[in-house]
Amino acid sequence: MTRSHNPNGGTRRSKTRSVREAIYRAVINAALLPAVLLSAAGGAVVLYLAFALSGRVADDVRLQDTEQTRWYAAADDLAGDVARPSIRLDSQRADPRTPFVAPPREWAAADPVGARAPVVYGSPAHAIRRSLLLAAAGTTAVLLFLGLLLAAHTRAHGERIAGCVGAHLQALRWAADRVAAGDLSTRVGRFEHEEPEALALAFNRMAATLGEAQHRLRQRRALFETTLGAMRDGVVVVGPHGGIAYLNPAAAALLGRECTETIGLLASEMFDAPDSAGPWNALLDPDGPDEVDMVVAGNLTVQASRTHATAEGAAAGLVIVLRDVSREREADRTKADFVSHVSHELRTPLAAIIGFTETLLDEPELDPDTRAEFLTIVKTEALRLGNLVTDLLNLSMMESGRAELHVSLLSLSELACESVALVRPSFEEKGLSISVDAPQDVVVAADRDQMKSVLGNLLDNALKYTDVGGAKVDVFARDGYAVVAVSDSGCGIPPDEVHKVFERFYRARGTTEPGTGLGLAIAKTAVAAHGGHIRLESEYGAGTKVSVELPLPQTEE
Amino acid sequence: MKPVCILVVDDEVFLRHLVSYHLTRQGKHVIEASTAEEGLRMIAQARPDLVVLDLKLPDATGLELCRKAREELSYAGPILVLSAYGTPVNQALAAANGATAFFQKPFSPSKLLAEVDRLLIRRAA
Repeated sequence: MTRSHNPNGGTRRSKTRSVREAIYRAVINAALLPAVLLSAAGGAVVLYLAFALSGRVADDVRLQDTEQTRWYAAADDLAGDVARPSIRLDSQRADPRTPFVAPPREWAAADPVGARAPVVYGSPAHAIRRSLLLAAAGTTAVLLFLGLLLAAHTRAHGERIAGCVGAHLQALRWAADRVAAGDLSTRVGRFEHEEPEALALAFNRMAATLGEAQHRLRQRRALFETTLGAMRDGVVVVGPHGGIAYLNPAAAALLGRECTETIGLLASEMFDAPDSAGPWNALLDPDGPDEVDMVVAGNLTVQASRTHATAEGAAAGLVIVLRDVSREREADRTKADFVSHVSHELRTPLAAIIGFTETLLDEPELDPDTRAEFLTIVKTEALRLGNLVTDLLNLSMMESGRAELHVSLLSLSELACESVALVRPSFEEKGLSISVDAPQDVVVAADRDQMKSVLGNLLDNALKYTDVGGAKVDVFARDGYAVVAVSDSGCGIPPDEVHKVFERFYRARGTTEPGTGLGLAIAKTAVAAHGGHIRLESEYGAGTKVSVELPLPQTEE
Repeated sequence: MKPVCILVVDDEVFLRHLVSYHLTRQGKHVIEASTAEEGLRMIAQARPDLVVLDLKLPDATGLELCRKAREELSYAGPILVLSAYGTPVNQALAAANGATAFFQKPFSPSKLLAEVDRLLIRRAA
């Protein structure tokens, strides 16, 4: 049997035990008196029966004595010595030689059992009565003794039983306390007596059932905790009175709170900041929306959706699921910005095309030079529109991975020379220099058209944003990469805008140069598709250098 | 009689040219700016009777120019915003920053001229 010490309940328990033992003693003492009385009563009955029996026997004997007395009387008469009748009571001590005197016959009639009939001392009746009385007295004494013995034994046994039962009850109570304290492995041992033993077995069965039920509950709770703990979405349970009843770790992380510190808080007091508190409180409002977006700690955008929980048909509060939708919302914003930019970039050349076309149609009397000028503008803007659509398609294809790469071995030195030859007239027209520095031939495995487009874009930017000096193209190999770098002595990029240059539709601040703002975004995507990198270094007001790094082909040994 | 002076602020050279062509043909005096900075300077110097303004400028947004013209230069003339960003939000923002009317690109030159005339008449009244 498992035992454990309870330091706080010792005194109280011993007092209780004393009281209980006192009760047992009182009960046993109360049982003693009836036992003795019963023994005494038994003795008395035995005595009475013995006395009655002795009287009947004496009566029979007395009849015989009468005959004998008559015989004695006759003998006396013959002797002439008539003695005075002498009557002696049974209790009187008589001279053994005193002769019998027959009692009057009416005595026997008046005392049918002969109990009070005088018995002649020394007669046979007297002898029999004395023997019976002695036997009865002895029996009574024995009965009394046995009664006392039984009483003493009962008392001793009772005390022992009381002691045992008290100990058993104590053990049961201790075990019940342990179970109540949560230790459902507690069992009581075997008891000596039947009833406590049955009670102990019932107790043990109850403890075992409780233990199994608790084990199942713990398993379920563990499953529940593990599941909710592993969820990426946050779960907040709000009780029927508006208090936070549960918060899983993901919810705590999203809300920037500790699980434990929020339990019991009113849900409506969770947030102070308007971006959070407004939507959150709307969600708690029974008439509010079922889904809201809220901005929480760390500028996360969290989508909170609620479900009304019911238990046995009654409202049991709210289950709120929180989901970090920052990326989705950012993607939505990017997409919206992109659509807005595309829309703007398409509408601008369209506005010129439509405006000048309408003018040409409305004014047939226009002079030929003006007409030719307007038609040239329409053509230019139509080509711009075409380029924009091509760039958008290329970018879309490359970003989605649908652009097919036609890879072949390509000399970057040759490609640089070809590209520079194409733009040299434009540079010279603007009074700018342009040169290539390719001390050795560097070969890469790449899509020729895409690389030509990338290099052409970099040279175009250098031409647009350089007013003095010129540009230079360097081709070399370094650390397993082929590098082609375009440097210019142009206006450079403000430091706070350098990180934006590869974004779609980025245009240098203050530029009035034509362009879609997609060139560097396309270049970055194309280079990345070849497993390379593109880097930009710029000194505002002094120039810019853009380097394209492509992995060198692995040589087989 | 002094001709009506109209300022056209747009970084798109062809669109500036289109608007200027039609306004000039109507006998209006047109001045042009391609950046917000240039536009503000011209508003301060020339005090045009009306401004045709693009929302997307290289150095600032048309909204900023609009607000500065109203607040810093106390310009009271009509400002007609002409933009390819013709969303309701942009229209509301333009109005909140002091724009008088909103016209979306692409546009019909004749309708633009009619709107310019309407704004000038309203201002004169």
